[in-house]
Amino acid sequence: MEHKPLARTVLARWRHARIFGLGDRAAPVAFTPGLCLTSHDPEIGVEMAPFTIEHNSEKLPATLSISARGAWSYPFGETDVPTYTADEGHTLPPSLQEADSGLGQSTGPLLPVSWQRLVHDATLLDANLSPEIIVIQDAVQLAGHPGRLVQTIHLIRERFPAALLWAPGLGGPDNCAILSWFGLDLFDLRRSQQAAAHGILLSRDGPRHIDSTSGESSEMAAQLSEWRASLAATRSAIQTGTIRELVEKQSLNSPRLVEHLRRHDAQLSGSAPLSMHVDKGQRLRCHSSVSRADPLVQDWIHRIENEYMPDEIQRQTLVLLPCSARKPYSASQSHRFFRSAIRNRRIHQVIVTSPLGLVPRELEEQWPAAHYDIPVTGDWDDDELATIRRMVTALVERVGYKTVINHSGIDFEIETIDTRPEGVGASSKAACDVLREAIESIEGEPMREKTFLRHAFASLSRWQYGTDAWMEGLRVGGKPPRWMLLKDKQQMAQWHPDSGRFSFTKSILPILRETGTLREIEIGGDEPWKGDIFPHMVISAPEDLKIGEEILIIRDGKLLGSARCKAAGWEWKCGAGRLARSQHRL
Amino acid sequence: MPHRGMAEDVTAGLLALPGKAVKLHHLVKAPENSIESIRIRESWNADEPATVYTTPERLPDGTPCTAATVILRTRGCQWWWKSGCTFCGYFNDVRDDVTSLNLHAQWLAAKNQLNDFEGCDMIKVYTSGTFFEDEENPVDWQETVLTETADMGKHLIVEAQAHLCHEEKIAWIAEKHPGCTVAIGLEAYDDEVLKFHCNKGFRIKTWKKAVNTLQSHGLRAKSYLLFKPPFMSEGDALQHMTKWIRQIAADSDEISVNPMNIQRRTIVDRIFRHREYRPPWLWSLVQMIRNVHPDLHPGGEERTRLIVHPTAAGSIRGAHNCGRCDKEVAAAIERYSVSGSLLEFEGLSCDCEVQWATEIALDTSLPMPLGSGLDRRLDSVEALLSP
Repeated sequence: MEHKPLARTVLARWRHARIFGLGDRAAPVAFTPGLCLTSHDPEIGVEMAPFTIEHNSEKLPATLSISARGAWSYPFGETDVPTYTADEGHTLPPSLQEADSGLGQSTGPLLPVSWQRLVHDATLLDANLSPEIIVIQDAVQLAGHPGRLVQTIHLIRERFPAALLWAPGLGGPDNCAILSWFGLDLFDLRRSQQAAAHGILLSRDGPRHIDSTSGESSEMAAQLSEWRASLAATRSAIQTGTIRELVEKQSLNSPRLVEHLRRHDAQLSGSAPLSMHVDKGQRLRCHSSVSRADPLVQDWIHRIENEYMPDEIQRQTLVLLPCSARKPYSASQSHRFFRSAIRNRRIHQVIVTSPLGLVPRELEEQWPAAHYDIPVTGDWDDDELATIRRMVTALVERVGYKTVINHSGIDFEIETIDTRPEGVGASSKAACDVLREAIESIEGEPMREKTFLRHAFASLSRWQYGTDAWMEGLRVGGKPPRWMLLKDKQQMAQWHPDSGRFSFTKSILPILRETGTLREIEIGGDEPWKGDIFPHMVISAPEDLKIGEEILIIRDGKLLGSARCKAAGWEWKCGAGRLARSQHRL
Repeated sequence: MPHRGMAEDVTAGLLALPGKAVKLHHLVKAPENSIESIRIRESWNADEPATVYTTPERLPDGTPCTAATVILRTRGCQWWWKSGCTFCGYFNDVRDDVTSLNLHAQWLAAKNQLNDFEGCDMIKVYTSGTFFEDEENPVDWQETVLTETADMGKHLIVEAQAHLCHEEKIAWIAEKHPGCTVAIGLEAYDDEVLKFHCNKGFRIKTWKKAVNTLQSHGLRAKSYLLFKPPFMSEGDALQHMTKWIRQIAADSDEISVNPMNIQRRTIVDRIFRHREYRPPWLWSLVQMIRNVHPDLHPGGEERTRLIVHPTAAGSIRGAHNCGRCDKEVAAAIERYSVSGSLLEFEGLSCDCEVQWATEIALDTSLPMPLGSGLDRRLDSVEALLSP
């Protein structure tokens, strides 16, 4: 039977957390993360609770119906209210995973899944399956099995990017940000109802006894105000790209949440949907040691430790410098002093820091090097020291620097020229004099600024695209800070230091394709390509596209133009809403 | 071709796990042959019964009496040999080398222990299976029990699986001990539940036929129902048990509701240890009794007797409440089984009642087939921490 599709678009996203606008894309009235209400729940506005549900177990196995609380199906007439029904089937608990005796769950726009179904039911392998809402029936039980909850959510989230995900019974004002981070969209009031029955307030900080001195109550009205505040905080954090910080705070609300976050971080390490570039003003606040496990941080560490190579002109001498609170480092006073002490452009400057470990100077404008922020006590802990030392050893071995000048104040096992006299700050005149002396003892032919920048941009290009072949025959021109790359007198690309990216002109797109610099996505259809890139247009796309990444648009083998990714690779396979914004059309 | 071999070794779903998929039936059997199980089974003396005790009871005509219960060590249940029910831990008490001599010795020991059942007008003889199944229990021993108890003028209750109540055998029973009671573990009056939740091995059609056979030979039919089988929420258990009792009342001389208790090394034990199952609330049993009492007493007259003996009531492995009110509530339920009066529940209340009611409401309104219940014995704040 044909069903009314739920109109939805992604209004904001940060990794797997998203805000969906429901209904007419031009004017959505309901949003996720939000609540599903049962007939036992109090009335809540549609902006917080977009769906009502009806579970009927008078006959077993039970049936489920979910209704939108508005006409959110195209063409948005009065009767265009999406309602989906499903057979819940029988499910065995996750501990009996070997047995496939359950099942009977229906397959359709409303898709009930359990661990058992994921393990045994081959119908979910159908590539054409595109559910509107997915219900993880045994989520609460799965949460008690190490790793299985995040494994399940991750698997379903990436397999069905456009579906709304609900794990009945799991959510609360104390965990909705973290569950959104994992990829859930919908929650319910089960835990708040139970808290009310116990005379406990399920607050944003977890369940707690009410404070009688301030006249607090554990009635549902009080429970709901916690929900409102928490959902609002979650949505705000998704919009501003600060949800990781909220997640780290929220994870402390229960030991299970800490476990889930650790497992999730470990599971996504190496495959998280990260951004290549972020908006100006974006920060990454690494206020707790949990931030070190963030796949974004781990990805940086991994790439510097295992892949990064400086430009060939900078492989003789390394100088290790301390970081600064101000980012990019070059904008800080201390680094101005360092730069004035380091007049030799052939010396490779690498900044020692936490949690990123090492940041090569030419990458200092990249995400997240230009954006992170940490509390500073002046002391490194053992874990930070171990990471920095491990990375320095790996980098020095791989590059084969002949000399390492150490101005960082950290001791290393490798041989270094230490330039930090006892008892003075790194940027003090005394220290900078020692540094200057050490630098001046290194030989090296002077190099003109634009020649040097050509090498720095090549290194940046290799970091971003894995190649600098497109720069063949180009020279650096223009004025700082927006340097240009020119072919003869024609501009081919411009450097944008604020966003840490090259912006390419139309004329260089064929070369970017020939040199395999930008990745390609193939679109279908035969109408002229207009507007942006939407899921129905896409025939194929790399699975690991990053937000902010520039891509080439190909049809029938022909280059049509370029676009910038708004969604990461996991959303490109039958996702929802705009995937990329067009940049150039040839 | 090498791929085929590999494909056979993982499950079929989106999340392929190593190993072959099995039926629930295989998991039921799995613990039986564990070293611990065998050790326990083989540690007992086959000449002594498992348990012998007396309880207050009511005769079929309603007269209060004392009943003797004799639980024997046998070769166990034929259904267990083939498959087995999800909740039944009787296999812990059986071994396959029990002979007629052993059983006669056990019977004699029981009689000795209770002074030839002096003062007991009712005798319950339980064999962890079907009393009159010839492969389970030797015919000569069956005859001994039937005739001896008939000669003593005692009312006898034996147990059977529905599909084993064959016409000829029932006729023979009725001849040896006329008017005795045969109790059948129906568990659920719902074929879906019998198959999926209980793995019971027969359907309600078979049970109906068995009851007809018993009653046509003048025997009394007692039906056991299981409150809250595995893989079912508290709310569904209450809702369905209420319905089942009403549905089978007309065909049953007595209905005995057994609230689930966790028996060692069963499937239920396994999911209980993973916190995927909690035994029923005592409040659910009270509510169930309140729901069906008018149906069982049309016009105030008792039509079918309802018995609820919550095994291990108040303990974490039996039906339980918050821990503070368990004793009182369980005692009221026990008293109701004898008195049949709702007055037993007058004035009974506890703070945990609202928590129970919330659980029932959530179970019946959210798609959480395995239930929404929290641990009832943890500190409230701890129980409510994010899963």
